[in-house]
Amino acid sequence: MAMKFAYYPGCTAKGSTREADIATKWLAGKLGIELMELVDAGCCGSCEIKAVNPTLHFMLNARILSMAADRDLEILTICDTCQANLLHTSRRMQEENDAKKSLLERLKSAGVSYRATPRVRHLAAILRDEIGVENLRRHVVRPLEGLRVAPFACCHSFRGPGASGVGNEGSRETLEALVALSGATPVAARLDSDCCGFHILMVNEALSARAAGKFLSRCVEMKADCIVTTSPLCHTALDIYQHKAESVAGRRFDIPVLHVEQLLALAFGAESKAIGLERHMVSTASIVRRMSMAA
Amino acid sequence: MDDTPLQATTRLSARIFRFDPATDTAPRYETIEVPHEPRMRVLDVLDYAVDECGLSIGYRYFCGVKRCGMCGVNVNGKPVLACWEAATASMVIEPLSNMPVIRDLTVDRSAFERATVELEPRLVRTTPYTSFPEHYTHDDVAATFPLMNCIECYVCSSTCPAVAVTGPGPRDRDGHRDFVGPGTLVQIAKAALHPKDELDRSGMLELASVDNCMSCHRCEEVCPVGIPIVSHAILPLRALAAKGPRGLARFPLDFAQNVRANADIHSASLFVKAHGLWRALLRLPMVLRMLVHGKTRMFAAASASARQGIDAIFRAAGL
Repeated sequence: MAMKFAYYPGCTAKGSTREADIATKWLAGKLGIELMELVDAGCCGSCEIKAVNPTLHFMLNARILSMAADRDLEILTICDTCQANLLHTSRRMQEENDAKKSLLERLKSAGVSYRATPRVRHLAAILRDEIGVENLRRHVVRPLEGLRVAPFACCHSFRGPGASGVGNEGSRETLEALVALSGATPVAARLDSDCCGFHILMVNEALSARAAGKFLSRCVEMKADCIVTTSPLCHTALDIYQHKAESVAGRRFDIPVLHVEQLLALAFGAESKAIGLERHMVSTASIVRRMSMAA
Repeated sequence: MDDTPLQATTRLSARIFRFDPATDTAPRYETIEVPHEPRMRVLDVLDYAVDECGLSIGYRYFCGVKRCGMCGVNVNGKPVLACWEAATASMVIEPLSNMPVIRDLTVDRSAFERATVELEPRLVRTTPYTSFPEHYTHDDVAATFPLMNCIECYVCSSTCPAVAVTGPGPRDRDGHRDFVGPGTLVQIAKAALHPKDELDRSGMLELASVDNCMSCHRCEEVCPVGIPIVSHAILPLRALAAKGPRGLARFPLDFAQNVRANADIHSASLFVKAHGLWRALLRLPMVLRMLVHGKTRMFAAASASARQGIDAIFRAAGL
């Protein structure tokens, strides 16, 4: 089955966590998913622009939606926050009211003709819905047996106006199912009140580090070998800034953080360099060593 | 959490937190078994513990119908109102977090209440009333209307990851303080977003660290009355704080400017803007490590057409 999507990786997967983009492309090649990247899409506004100007926030996202609609494609994201912003906007654009009319007029004056609202899903949900967990399992050539993995789905994927699913269809359950199909053992280290603190990294680094440190401490206590995220933003807080969390908590964590795309690619036989495992700030050598010994 | 369906004959198990700071050195738990009654609530379980088991548990309640906001407790790790939460087969009942324990399940909310009072939770106006009652349209009050349902239970603040473990501390010498929590911000937003409010609140809001909200939406998830706290209270207050005279909460403005200039966020220049050049230079070792690992770009990478497209959106939004 040929699958083709408008690929919106988001700023972070094209900047600070380019390995997420690299691993996604590897995985898409392996599974026969064609990615048409929306190269001129720009930022979705994260959680900042809606705090300044909600209209601008919706317009930025509606422009991205329209770029996929112009190509008659659904959107594939690899960032839970991009997904939440696009989903929230797509819900807004499916209402018929004065607010939508005003958005359409403003978009028109910016040269954007908004024809239709495409479906928006995270790669993890697309794998679940379009390929299915059982079919994915057939691609596993290197089961990650014995690897204890703490899943961390971004808050934006399951809470707030851009949440993606409900009940068993939710992002947390999907991530856990993907971890399990890789052969790894999911470790339930995350509490509902946990947040990685990404969105205040540049505002209050110590507070952000404290929030990340709570989750990281629990991962160490529960003997997780690594963390896996569906969001490059959570990845940034937990990987790039892990040393900050260590200094605030006063203890060493040294726990690698993988993108879900990397975890699946590893199980599907990818070489570590092909999925950017050397690009992490917290060394992934312990995971790579384990995989090469198992192979 | 145990979601086993309850039969009329089921006996429920409740493990209840006990701690009296005046006499105890550490908390302990007492476990009781309670015969299940149809539509039994957590509050009924606590009443049973006192009336039938003779336990002198300290807990607080008043109305019993989700109005007074006094009976917040953690049940199996989730903050809820005891009067509105269904009892389940197996419960661990503990005091709300982020607040000091007075005794057992009774917590001291005064740090949050003090923060609320200090931030003027009332309309401040000099314009005389035009009539009584004054004329409002639905549009006039649309922004504040959902906030009026708040019962001031502070359940949201008890589970907020941006709130300090004993609640917001006092203000420092500059008047700056920790994040005051979502419960307080709902009270303030009721007044601040009201069309008749005339107080410039930007200064006090930036000092109250409203920009420390992590946008995790946990407050909305636990709100017993379903208030969209982030979108209806915190985001509009962050917009006010961003205009504060000290520039303490201007990060969203810097972020927007960065997007306009680069189309994609250029994190290196945003980092320098947020921290200032000298403090950013102190982080040089981290930046160098990031460069080695390909974690940052020195120069923005988006195309000219992307930048033009984004700029057109900003202009069409009136910026």
